Amino acid sequence: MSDILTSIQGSEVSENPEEVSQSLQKAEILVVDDSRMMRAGLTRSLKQLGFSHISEAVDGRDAITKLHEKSYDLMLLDMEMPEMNGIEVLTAMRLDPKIGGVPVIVISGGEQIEMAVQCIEAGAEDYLSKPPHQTLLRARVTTSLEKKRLRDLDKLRFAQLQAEKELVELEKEKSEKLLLNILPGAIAGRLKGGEKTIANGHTTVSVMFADLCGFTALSRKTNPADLVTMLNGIFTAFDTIVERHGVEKIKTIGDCYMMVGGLPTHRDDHAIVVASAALEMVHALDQLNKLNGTELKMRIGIHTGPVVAGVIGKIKFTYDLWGDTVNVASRMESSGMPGMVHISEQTEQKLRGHFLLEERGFVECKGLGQVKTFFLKGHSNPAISN
Amino acid sequence: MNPKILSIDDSKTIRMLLKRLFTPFVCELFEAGDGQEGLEVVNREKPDLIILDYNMPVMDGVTMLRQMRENTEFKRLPVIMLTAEASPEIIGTVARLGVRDYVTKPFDSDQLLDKVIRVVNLERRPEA
Amino acid sequence: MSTSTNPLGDLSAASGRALKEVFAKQLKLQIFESPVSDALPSLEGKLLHSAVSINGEKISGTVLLQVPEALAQHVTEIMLGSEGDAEEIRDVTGELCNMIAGRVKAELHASGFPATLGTPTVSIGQRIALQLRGESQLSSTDWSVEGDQSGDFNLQVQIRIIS
Repeated sequence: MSDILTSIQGSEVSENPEEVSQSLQKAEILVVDDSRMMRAGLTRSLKQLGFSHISEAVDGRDAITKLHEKSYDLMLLDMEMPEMNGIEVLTAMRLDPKIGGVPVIVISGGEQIEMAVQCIEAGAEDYLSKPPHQTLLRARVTTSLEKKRLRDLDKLRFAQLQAEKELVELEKEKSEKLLLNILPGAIAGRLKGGEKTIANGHTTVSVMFADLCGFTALSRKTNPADLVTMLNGIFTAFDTIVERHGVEKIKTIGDCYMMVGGLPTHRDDHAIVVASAALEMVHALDQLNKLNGTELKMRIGIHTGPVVAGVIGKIKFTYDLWGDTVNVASRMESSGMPGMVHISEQTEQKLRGHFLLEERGFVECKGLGQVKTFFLKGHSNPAISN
Repeated sequence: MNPKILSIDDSKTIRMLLKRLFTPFVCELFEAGDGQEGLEVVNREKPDLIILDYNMPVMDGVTMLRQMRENTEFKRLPVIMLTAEASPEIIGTVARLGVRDYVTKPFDSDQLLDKVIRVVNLERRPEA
Repeated sequence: MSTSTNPLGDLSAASGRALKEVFAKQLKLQIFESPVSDALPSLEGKLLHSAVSINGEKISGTVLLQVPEALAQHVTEIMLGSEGDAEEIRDVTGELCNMIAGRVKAELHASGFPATLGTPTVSIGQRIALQLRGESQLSSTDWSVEGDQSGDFNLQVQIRIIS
């Protein structure tokens, strides 16, 4: 007989054929009933089924306290209890995620069928009429415990899969994070919005910002059409100069003219060509002022360093630059002086010997701290400047 | 090829006014009610001149101009601003984006016609 | 009526300048201000109202143009070259208010109050009067078109300093 039972159940079987499989015997069961006799009876029955971890609670409140103290696999709950009945206990459990996952078998008196149905609707798994028949008790308890075991296994597997997926995501994120750390928030937001970016790595370039100042005052005495014509002339002149020096004009950021030397293809003299273009632009503005009778001024800032250059966009692609270098170049411009070309020491290093430079002082730049700066005065070989 | 003129303004009145202004001349007229529509027409028709308003729903004139200029094909496409907006900031911004002229509303129709003729060759239609 | 010592400037004077420029340049009409506001019977009936909002960091306000239908029709004929239908008349009224508001806005900008314009709304009804709310300046002026007996209209400009 034992041999047959072994082959059926598969796992180790005890001498008592009534007992549940050993794996289930380890289950923690909580018996809740206000009657000491009922509790004793249920506990005895469960012990006969092979369960050894049985706890008792004397009423609803006691049950909830005990549920918080230990992790139970099953609760047998009497419905008719004073102060807190079965429904109330179930509702309290459902509202508390810490204990809401414990399966409950409700024990009801024969006439309480409606109450039992209500309890099931309130979350109970099953019900038994009291006193429970041993075979029925075994069947209902086993079913509930098996169901919970499978649920727990599922949860574990799911958690493992999640962890694996997260790991893969994390690795992907790490490589992208390097790029995103450099990008300003606005660009990162665009990437999240689905725009694709094809960014090239880092490369050392020289970035120049030029800001025209004084035309707000000018606009007060000039009509828009004339103002536009005048500005047109200036920007066309700048474009020509920039192109001639092999410097790339990047899209204007706000009202600032931004350009870069050394992109899209690297050139060793990137700082030199940008500096030459800057000096010519200052000269061109002077000429145009004389021609138009205006007093427009320009602040120019130049910085040299690495950038992430790339193409961003959904349909139309915009070539853009990102990185601290761009921010510092902008800072060079904003902290500069009208009519002067203000450069950082990094740019100065590249220009030594080719240009006349004058020390300015120190400027605080986020990320770099105090940056030594210079003013670009002219070419060292006067024959170069026309 | 007859010159193509595109007017982009959310005001039907302005669009009709411009239509009336250019009808006596040999040219093809196109309209758009906002910057977004304007871009579509530019891509489709490749006009010889755009008369552009600033304050429009969906996409304003500056945004439209900026996006259009990113396309190398339209970097030099002539644009005349026609707008009630006259702040120096906007004027500066569109100047950087390369506009031929800037006309504020209210405007003298004849003066506008003169400015247009400086950009596109307009011939009068023969009297029918 | 606004005083000339306030930071926004004289709104009535600004209204006048804006109106004269719009009517002269766009419509080639001369206008003059009517001294007494209740002496214009043509402003008693149904009027076309067009409103444009002005909004900036420091100011918020409305420009409201009210014209009798006959004048609106006349103006439409001038702008479009022919009699317009109801929709066109409304659109022209809106555009007119837009231009007037644009000029007022330019003056406010020059006084240190930059702002943007909203889209014009047009409706028909009895004459309305904007209420003075809190710390706001309100100007209401009545005008007549030279040579046009039914060419009376009203312009109100209300601007509130919000910061």
